[in-house]
Amino acid sequence: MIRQLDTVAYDNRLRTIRPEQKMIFAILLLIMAMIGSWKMQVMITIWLAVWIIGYARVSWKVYAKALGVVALFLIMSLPALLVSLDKSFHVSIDRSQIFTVMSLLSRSAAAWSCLFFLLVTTPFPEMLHVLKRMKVPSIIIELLFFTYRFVFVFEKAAEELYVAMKARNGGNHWRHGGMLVFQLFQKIWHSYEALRLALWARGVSDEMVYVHVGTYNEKSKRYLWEAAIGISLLLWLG
Amino acid sequence: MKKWKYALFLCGLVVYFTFSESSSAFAMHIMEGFLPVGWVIFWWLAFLPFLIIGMRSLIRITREHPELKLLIALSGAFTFVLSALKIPSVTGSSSHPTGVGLGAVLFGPWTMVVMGSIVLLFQALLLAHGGLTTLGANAMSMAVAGPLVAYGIYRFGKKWNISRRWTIFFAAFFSDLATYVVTSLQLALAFPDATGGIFASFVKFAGIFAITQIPLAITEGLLTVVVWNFLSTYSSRELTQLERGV
Repeated sequence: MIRQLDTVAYDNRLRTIRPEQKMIFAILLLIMAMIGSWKMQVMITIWLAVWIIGYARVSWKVYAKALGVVALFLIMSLPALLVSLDKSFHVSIDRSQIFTVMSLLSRSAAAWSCLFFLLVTTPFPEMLHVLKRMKVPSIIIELLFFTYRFVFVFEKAAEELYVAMKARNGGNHWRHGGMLVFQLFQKIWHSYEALRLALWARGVSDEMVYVHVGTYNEKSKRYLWEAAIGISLLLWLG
Repeated sequence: MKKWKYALFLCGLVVYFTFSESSSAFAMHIMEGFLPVGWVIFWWLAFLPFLIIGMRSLIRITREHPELKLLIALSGAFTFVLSALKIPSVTGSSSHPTGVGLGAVLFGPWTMVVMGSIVLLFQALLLAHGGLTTLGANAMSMAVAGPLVAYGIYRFGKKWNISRRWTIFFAAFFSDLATYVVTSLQLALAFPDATGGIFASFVKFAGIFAITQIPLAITEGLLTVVVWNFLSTYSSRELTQLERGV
């Protein structure tokens, strides 16, 4: 899942738009989704689905699958929100709670859409570049950058270990999980030692991260216009 | 109670059990947009002091030993990958460990506050799991309450010479439990019950999440003990290095 979404972030039609613009767009919509009315939230969800599936050409299967995963949390909390309980453990469903749940559904869907739009259109290093321009402390940028690099290396390692374990008919007992985690830790420690030695040999003592800046299409203002007009329309209608 | 209410209630239960039983247990993160604006701001403000303390300790550590930056990033990646790893659970289904207990014991609680937040940020920005608005609330439960509880129990066990295995088990077990109790509390505060108030709401949320989160906590406890045994048998050099380093 994680590699799939990361691949999409590098390979979509909105990649050539400046990351600053996409981040501002997503965060503006997120704020509007959080404080706006339900009408505005529904419109944001639909409009962003058009952006994600229509303009960025993200496969609708990816979109639906990701939505399904997060909807699990929503579905799990629905009974707790709908059914109320009093001191003598009488179970009832309050009509007003249904309204709360509906507004919660529309808000969550809209806010999640904003996050997902950012996630599938902007590669993580480009977000880091924006954070750097926003003067976020370099230690945070460095940590985020290294973590991003390592996550994929170890995810692959973990997957290989898992397949190896399954191929030997393992993985039916929690003890096997312990072995897996330990082997992963060992792998991680080896890469740490190797990198530490490599950096030490090169005498590194300062900042070690170079954030790549991509090439962007500055000519076409079509999406900028749609974003501006859409947001004003949302403010006017919502 | 009217018939349609019963029907609705039953439908709810059916949907709930189908989804919660067949799927594997994730650590619960409150999803994007779930909390109202007031609570979003409240939890962000509550989380900031912890983040600042964690950052200061991190900056101090990395200034003295720049190579530890790598180790800390590795610990973050380790925690992140762990949370994506499928582990057979005690109930027969599978669960995803949080790795917070192990991380806090290995790398210290303040490092884990920062790394836990970074892991949450990654889960939001790479998987759309959790969210930016709910990051403050999720960080309070997973990156602050979890590591602090785990480390507190670990120190307590070390001081009173309680068997290392039990200490590690309880550190991991209670860190998961603390995460889940804090999450339930956050949801209860944001969505109080119409008749029973905050307490009834807390009972409901905690009860629902208990089905997945208590087996998860037990699995995580057992798992952490096994990992710790491996570590102390085969990697004692690394462990002492960690204890000196962080």
